[in-house]
Amino acid sequence: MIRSDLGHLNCPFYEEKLDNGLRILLYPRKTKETSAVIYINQGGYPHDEEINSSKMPFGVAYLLEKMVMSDKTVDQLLQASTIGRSHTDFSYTLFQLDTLGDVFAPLKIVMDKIANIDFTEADVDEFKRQYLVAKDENPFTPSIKGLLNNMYFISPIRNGYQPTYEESVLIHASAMKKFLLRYYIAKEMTIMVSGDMTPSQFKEGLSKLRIPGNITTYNKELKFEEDYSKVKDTYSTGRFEVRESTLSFGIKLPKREKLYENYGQLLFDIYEVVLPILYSENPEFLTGVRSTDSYLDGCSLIQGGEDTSIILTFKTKSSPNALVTFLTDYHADLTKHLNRDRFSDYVKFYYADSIRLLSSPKKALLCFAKAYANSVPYTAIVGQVSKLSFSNFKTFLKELSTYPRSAFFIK
Amino acid sequence: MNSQNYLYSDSFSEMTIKRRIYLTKESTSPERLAFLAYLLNDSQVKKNKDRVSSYLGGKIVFDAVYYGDGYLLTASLSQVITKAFSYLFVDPFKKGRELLIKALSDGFSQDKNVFSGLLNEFVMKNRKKNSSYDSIRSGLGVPLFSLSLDIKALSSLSVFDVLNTLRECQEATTGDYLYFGPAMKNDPLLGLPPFKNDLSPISFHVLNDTPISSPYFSDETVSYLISFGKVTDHNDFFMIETALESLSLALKSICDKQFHSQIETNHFLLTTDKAILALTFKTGRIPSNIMSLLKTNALISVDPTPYVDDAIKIMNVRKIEVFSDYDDAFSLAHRGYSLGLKLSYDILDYEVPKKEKIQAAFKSMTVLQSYTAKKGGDER
Repeated sequence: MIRSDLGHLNCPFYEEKLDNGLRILLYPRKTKETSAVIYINQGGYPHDEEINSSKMPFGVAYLLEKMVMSDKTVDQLLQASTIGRSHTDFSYTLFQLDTLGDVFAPLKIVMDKIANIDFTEADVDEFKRQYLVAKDENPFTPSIKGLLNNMYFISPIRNGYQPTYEESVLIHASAMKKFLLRYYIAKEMTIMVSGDMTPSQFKEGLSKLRIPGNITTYNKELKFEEDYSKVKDTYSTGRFEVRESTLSFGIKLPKREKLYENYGQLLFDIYEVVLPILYSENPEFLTGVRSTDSYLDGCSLIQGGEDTSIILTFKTKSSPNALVTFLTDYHADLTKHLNRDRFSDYVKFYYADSIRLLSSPKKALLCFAKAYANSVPYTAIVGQVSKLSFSNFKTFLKELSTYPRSAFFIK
Repeated sequence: MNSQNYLYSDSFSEMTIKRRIYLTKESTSPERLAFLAYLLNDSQVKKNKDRVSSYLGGKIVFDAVYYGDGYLLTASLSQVITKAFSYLFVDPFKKGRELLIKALSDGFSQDKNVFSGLLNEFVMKNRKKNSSYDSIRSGLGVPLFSLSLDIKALSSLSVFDVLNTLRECQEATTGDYLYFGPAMKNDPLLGLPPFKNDLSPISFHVLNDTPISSPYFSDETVSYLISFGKVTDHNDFFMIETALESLSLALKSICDKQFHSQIETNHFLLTTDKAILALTFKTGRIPSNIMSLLKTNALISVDPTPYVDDAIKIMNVRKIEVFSDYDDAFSLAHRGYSLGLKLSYDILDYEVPKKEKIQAAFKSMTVLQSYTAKKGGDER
C-alpha cells in the first residue's frame, strides 16, 4: 500500500488499487473505536437512464441504499456490537460501520448483503409506506426542491436525491437489483477503514470479504444540456403547512468542467471555507439577515455531476421582500464583505478543526469520503486550504457575485 | 468538589475547559440568563481582533442550564491538542485561558438595534421548540438541562435586565473549572481566577409538578420519577441506565402489542438515586385506553427481565457513540462529575453491566411520581 502524509498534519494514510479495481484506504489511529466505510462511486444523481433495457426511475439509488442498510441489517450489525448507518449524496453512496470490536465481521455482513441481494418487492413497499410518507411532512424537502426547480431547467438535480412517496411508486425491486449490478461492483467501490491496525492486518481482514465482481451491463447514459448562464425562475412561492415561513436562496455555479478549467484543485479548497467566511460566521451577513426579522437556518454547497450550487435556508417572520432585497444587495459585490484578518483567522481555524475531525475514526472517514467524490484525499485538501491565498479567494468571490441566483418562499 | 477539577481521557485530540458560574434563582430569571448566553456567543462571532479561533482552533461557547436550586452560566473553551503548530512567542493554551476570562468581562454589544435583532431571533428559535419531552425536562428544572423559557417574558427583556445578570455573573463567588482531555505536561487550569465558594454536587428539587401544556406540542409525554439504590461510580451508573432501558423496551412492547400505540422512550439520572423515565406518544395524543397502564403502581408491575439482553446491546451502541464523539464523551463526563460519581483515570473506561446485576437493580426501583406534557392551553 502507498503511504501518504499530506498537509503536515502528522496523519498518514495508506491507499491501494487492487487488480479487480477495488480501492482500499487505511487511516491508522491509536483509538479504541474502529470505523469502516463502503464507498460507492455513484450517488442519487445523475445515473444511467437505462440499465439492461430497464428504465432507472428517479430515487432508485436512495431506495437501494435503504434496502442494503435495512432495519434487518441494522439489527444484525447490533448483534455484532456495531452501529450501521448509510447515506446517499448526489455524487456517492456510503455505508458506515462503527465498533469497539473487530470491524471485519460487520463489514462482512454488509458485503454479503450486497452480494446476495436479499430484499423483495414487499420489503421495498414496506419501506416506502413506513418512511417516505412520514418524510413528506418535513418542510425543508419541498423548500429545497422548490428552489432547485427554480434554478435548473432540465438537470435532474432539480429532484434532489430523495423521492417522495408519489415518486417512489415507479421504483421496483427489479430496477434496484439492476442498479446494484451496475454500480455496487469492485471498480466502483472503495473500502476505507480507520482504527488501530497495520496495513497488513487491514489487507488480511479484507481478504475474508466477498467483493462483488465487475459484471458487464448494457447502459444508456442520461444526456441533457443545462443552461448554466441563467436560472429558470428568479423567484417563486409555494404553500405548505408550516409554523414559520421558509425562504431558500440559491446561487447556480457554472458547469463544473468550466470551473475546474479556471481554478483546478483550488476550487475544492475554496469550497471548504466559502460558506463560513461569507455566511455562517460573517457578522455583517448575520446582522443584515436579523434586521429583516429572519435568521439563517442552514447553508450548504451541493455538488452532483456537472452541477454545483450554494443553498441558504432562512426562517422568516414577515414577508420575504426585505430579506430578498438584503440578499440581492449583499451578493452584488461579495468581495466587499471579505476581511483579510477574518479570512486568515478562519483558515487557521479550519486547519486546527481538521485535526479535531481527524482524531475520530468515524469523522475522519466521513471527511475522506466527502473529498473522495472529487478524487482528492482529505488531508491534501486540508494542507492546500492552509496555503489558500487571499487574492485567489477574492477572485472567486468576484465571479461568484456574477452567477445567477434564485429564491423560493414557502408560506 | 474543588474549584479546579480534571477529567482525563486519551481518546481525543482535543481539550475543553468549562468555567461554571453559579447564580441563585433570586438573582436572575431563566430568560435573562439564557439570552445573556446567546448575546455572549454572538459577541464571540463578531469579535474583530484577538479571536480565539486562531489559537489551535479555539472555540468559546456559553450556555445556561439548571443546577440544584439555581442556574449555571457555563463558558467552555475547547482547543486542539497537536504538535502540528508552532507558536514562537505565544502559548496558545495560556492565550485561550485569558480569552475565556475576557469573554465574560468584555460583555456584549449594547447597541439597541443589535440587541433587538438578536432578541427577535432568539424568540423565534425558542418559539419553534415543540417537543413535549424537552418541555418536561426543562419544566422540572432538571440539572444541566437548558432553561425553560416564557416567550412573553423573553420578548420583553431590556438591555438593562440582561446587563444586571451579566454583572451578577461577573461578580459571582460560587463556581468552578472543569478540564476534560488528555493529561498535559503543564497545568491546563493554571492562572484561572479562583472562586470563593465551590459548587456542590447536583441535587434535584421539583420546580414545577403541574401538568405542562402547549398548543405547539407535536406529541405528548408522560414521565415518571423513579428512585433506586444509590450509584457511586460510572459502572453503577450504566447498570441503572441499562435497567431503565430494559423497562423502556418492555413498555414499548406493551404499548405496541396491547394498545397499538407507538412510543419513544427516554431516561436519565437526576441524582445518584433518582431518574426520570419518559414515554412520548409520537402519533399525537396519549390514548385514553392506555391510562390504566400509565398509573404509577401499574408501571412497577411491568416485568423488564425479557428485555435485558436487548438493553445491553443498546448500551453497547451508546458506548461506541461516546468513543466516537468528543461532545458526547464530555457530556457524559460532565454529568458523572456533577452527580459526584467516583471516576476512574480514563473517564470513558467503564464496563457494560452483566445481566444478573441489572436484574438486582430492578428490585431497588420505586416509582415516586408522574408528570405529563400535553397539547392545549396557552403558549409558555
